[in-house]
Order: sequence, then C-alpha cells, then structure tokens
Amino acid sequence: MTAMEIGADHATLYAILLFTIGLAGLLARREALMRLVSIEILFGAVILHLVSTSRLATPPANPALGEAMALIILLIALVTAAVGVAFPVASGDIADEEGATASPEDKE
Amino acid sequence: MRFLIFHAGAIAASCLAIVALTRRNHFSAVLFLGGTLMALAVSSLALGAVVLATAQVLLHAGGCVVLLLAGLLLSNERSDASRGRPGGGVIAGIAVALLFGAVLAVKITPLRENGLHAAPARIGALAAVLFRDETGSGVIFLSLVLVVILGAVAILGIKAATRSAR
Repeated sequence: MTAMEIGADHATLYAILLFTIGLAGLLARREALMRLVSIEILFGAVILHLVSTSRLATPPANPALGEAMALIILLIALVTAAVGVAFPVASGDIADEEGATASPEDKE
Repeated sequence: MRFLIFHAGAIAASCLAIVALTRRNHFSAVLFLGGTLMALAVSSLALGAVVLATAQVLLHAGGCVVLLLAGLLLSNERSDASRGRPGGGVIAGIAVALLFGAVLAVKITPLRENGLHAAPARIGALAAVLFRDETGSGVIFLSLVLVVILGAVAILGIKAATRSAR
C-alpha cells in the first residue's frame, strides 16, 4: 500500500468512529426520533465497514458480495426507520404529546 | 484524488453525525443525518461501490423524508421548523457538491474496471449474488416485508393526518 492508497485499516477506523458516535447518541438522547437518527448512523457505520472490507481485504474478497450485503442492510435500515415512525403514530402519541406540552390556556 | 475523496467523505460523515446528534431541533437533526448519509455514500463511491452508492443516495433520501415526516408529526414548535430549513439547504448543497466531486473522481480514474463505465457489469455481478438460489428468496421476502411495512406506515400517516384535521 502506497501513501496515497485507501487502506482497510483507515476505513475500519472511520467505521469504529462513526459507530461510537451513533452509540453515544443512542445512549445519551431520550427522544424517539433522535434514537432513530442514532440507529441510522450505526447502520451507516456497518455499511462503510462492509464495503471497505469487501473492497480492500487481503486476500481480495468478492466485492459484489459485500455490496449485496450492504444493500440488504440498507433495506433493513429503511424498515427500521419506518417501524420506528409507525409506533408513535399508531399509538396516538402525537395528540398526547401536543396535549402534554400545551399551556393550560391552550387546553381550554 | 480517490484517496482524498474517501477521507473527506468519512471525516464529513463523522462531523455531521456529531452535529446531528447535538441538535435540539428535530428537523435540522434529520437534515444533518441526511448530510451524514450522503457523505457516507461519497466514501462508498470513492471505494468503487458505484451501485451501492446510488442505492444509498436514493434509499437514504427516502428514509430522511420518512423521518422528516415523523418530525413534522411529532413536533410542536412550528417556528423551529422554519429555523431549521436554511441550515438544511446548506448541508444538502455541500452533500451534492461532494457527490459531484466523487463522481468526477471515479470518472477520471485510470482504473477502467473501477470507473462509471463498468456500472452495467457491476449491476450484473450484484444481481448474480443477490438473486442466487440461496439468497434470492431472502431478498424477495425482505422486499415484500418492506412494501407491507411502508404501506402500513402510509395508511397510519394518512389516518393521523385525517384525525388531526378533524
């Protein structure tokens, strides 16, 4: 590997950094939407690691396999976001939340 | 060039992720998340994963729209929404510029097998892996689940909107 080539270890470090950021957000934020955002970041880190490993691994792996797995994870991330959105909508938390934060004058 | 684009994308993704998680406004958090995911797509593109980068951009754009809808439904402060928009526009602009740079970098690369002209062959290889006998049924099942769940979300969203309109 020359100095100006992308190394697998660099990509892994970025994936670890991104995963740590997502995990910190997941543990620190309490709102459902922010937790979903954190989970999306975690998925992003996993995808980056998968792609980089399949592309830059020695001995070389099948790059299409890594891309295929990353695509499936991408779909799962979308499903997760959809389910995460569906729960508060289905349980009617919108009305509750509005009612909880509205001032007494507004409620009257 | 490819090296620089990869590092720029990964560093931008990390910085935007930190910013997204420290925002209080849900709208701008989701928009920064969009920026993060686009920067990740840039990194994937720099690694040569052309098809995956395209899918990432398209699917993550859809995912961000879903999350924005959720933010719109769950948010109580309309003034915050209008405050979040200009920042989001700047982020989207930066992401598109980065993406354009990455496409150029892949296009001018001397490695023919990694360039954009190799995309049809890449799609063929990907389809061969995805729709193989062992994985094909899984992909079809996942697609069906995705369609059902997205349909359910759409119905719930319409119901909630109708309820709030009443």
